[in-house]
Amino acid sequence: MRETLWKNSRELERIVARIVRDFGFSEDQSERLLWLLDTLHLMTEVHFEDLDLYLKGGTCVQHYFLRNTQRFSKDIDIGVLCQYAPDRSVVQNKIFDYAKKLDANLTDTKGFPRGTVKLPNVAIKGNVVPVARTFDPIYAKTYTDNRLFGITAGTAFVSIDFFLEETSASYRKQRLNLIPTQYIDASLSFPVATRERLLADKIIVLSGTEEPYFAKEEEKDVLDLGMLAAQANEIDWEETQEMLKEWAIRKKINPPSRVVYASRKTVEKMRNEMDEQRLATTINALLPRPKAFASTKDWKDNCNAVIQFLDRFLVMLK
Amino acid sequence: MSLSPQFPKADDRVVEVLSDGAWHSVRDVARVGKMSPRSASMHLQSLLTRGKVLWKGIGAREHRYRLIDDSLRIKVKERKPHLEDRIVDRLRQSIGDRFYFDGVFAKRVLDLLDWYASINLYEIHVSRKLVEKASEALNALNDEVIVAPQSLNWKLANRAMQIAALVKIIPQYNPHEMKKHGNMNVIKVERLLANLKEQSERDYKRVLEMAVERGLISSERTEFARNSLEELS
Repeated sequence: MRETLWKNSRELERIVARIVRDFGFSEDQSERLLWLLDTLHLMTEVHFEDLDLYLKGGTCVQHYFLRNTQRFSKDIDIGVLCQYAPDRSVVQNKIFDYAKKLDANLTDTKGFPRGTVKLPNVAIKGNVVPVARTFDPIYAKTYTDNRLFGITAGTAFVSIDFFLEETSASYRKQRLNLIPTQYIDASLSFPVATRERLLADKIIVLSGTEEPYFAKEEEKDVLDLGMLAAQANEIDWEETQEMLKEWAIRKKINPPSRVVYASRKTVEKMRNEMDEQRLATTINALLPRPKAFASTKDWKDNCNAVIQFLDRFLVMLK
Repeated sequence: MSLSPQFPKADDRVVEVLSDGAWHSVRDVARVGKMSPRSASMHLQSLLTRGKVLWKGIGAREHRYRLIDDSLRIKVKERKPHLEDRIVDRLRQSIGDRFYFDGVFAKRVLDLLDWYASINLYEIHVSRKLVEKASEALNALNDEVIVAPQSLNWKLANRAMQIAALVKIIPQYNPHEMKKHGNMNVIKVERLLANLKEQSERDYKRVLEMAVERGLISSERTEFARNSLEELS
């Protein structure tokens, strides 16, 4: 049995109001950020011997930055390491067992709904196992049913994607530094991917050569890479290099610099394709007002900084 | 955020014409302000995106503006929860159910955004005849939103989104293109995809993938969608 990070709906509302005031996010996203943190909290409380889990992806990138520069991220990406390294289907089943254990820990005690943990309804292909932690929203509206998890419209959820078969896992347990953590009494520690791992992942994502990403070419990944570029001095470039090399070898990509070239090309494309309409409808329509780009020039400057960063990296790889 | 601290001279002339607080057509403003209609329209749209004037449409082509604030200061509008509910309530009270959302908010309702933060843009289809009523109804929310014509250029739209949520009224309405999700009237996913395909192959591909994944495209169409995806890749 466990309790959420807040005592009741009223306290949740109060924290949401403070996030809205302090960070310019909407109530919807502020509430999602809180449930995301509560889900990580739940995961710290439920141990599973055979699996080592660590936070990665966009949410983890935010952890390394000042809270007032963090972007909204609604999903939890988890890297999975299985001690006995058995095949994919065995690890998948272990994830399902873990999710069931998480769900069992959400049993309501005092009438305050804490949600459920749902497994997908269909067989999962590829190396990602999606799980959903539902919650009863005050602000976070959903309008459509989610067929993958059998969640009806109106019920909100936090996606937890478990990534199997990770290469060069690199993480350390740290006290989480996410926007809602400053409003919560409890100190929350979780294994988080290192900057080097995150950088390698973002380069791979933008290279668009591998499942489950393919050429997603998402603006949010460029934003994240831009953030990491701003912390270039704190990154051990050689370590990132080794991670990329290991991944490239496994995927039979030779030389490994091809991955960085492909990533650079994606960013270049996203820079060149950006016009005022795309900026409005794919970026500014989704960002908090203070973080919106005033013009395409600002977006292009951001992409150029990322390209320069990748160029520096390419020089090292050669 | 770079927001101009003072009105340019031409804007001054436009503000002067509007200073009686009444609604004025672009043509009126051009005539009295001694400028071309094109130039008047540009200045009016610029004032609109700084929250200085209100806009309302009469049919698809006529645009009228009214001054609400002649100060130089640009005030960021307050964000309140569930804005979309209030937009829907206002529209239903004034034009019934004859409207639907398109663009980024339609994607949000259809769960076709894989990341989002605030929604700062609402594109709403209404019939030409109802543009006036719809824009008047939504102007009642002007402490939260900027209501603008479809023709507002995207550069100004980006500027508007820095101070408020932007509501664009699109004077094209086809009831066969609408579907309800929850309480929301939204453009059908097939139409949304067709529009996206015209704008960007990349966005189309991304949203199509998600629509197939979410089961939003009917079973007969799923095969068609998958084939389209294969062709694209």
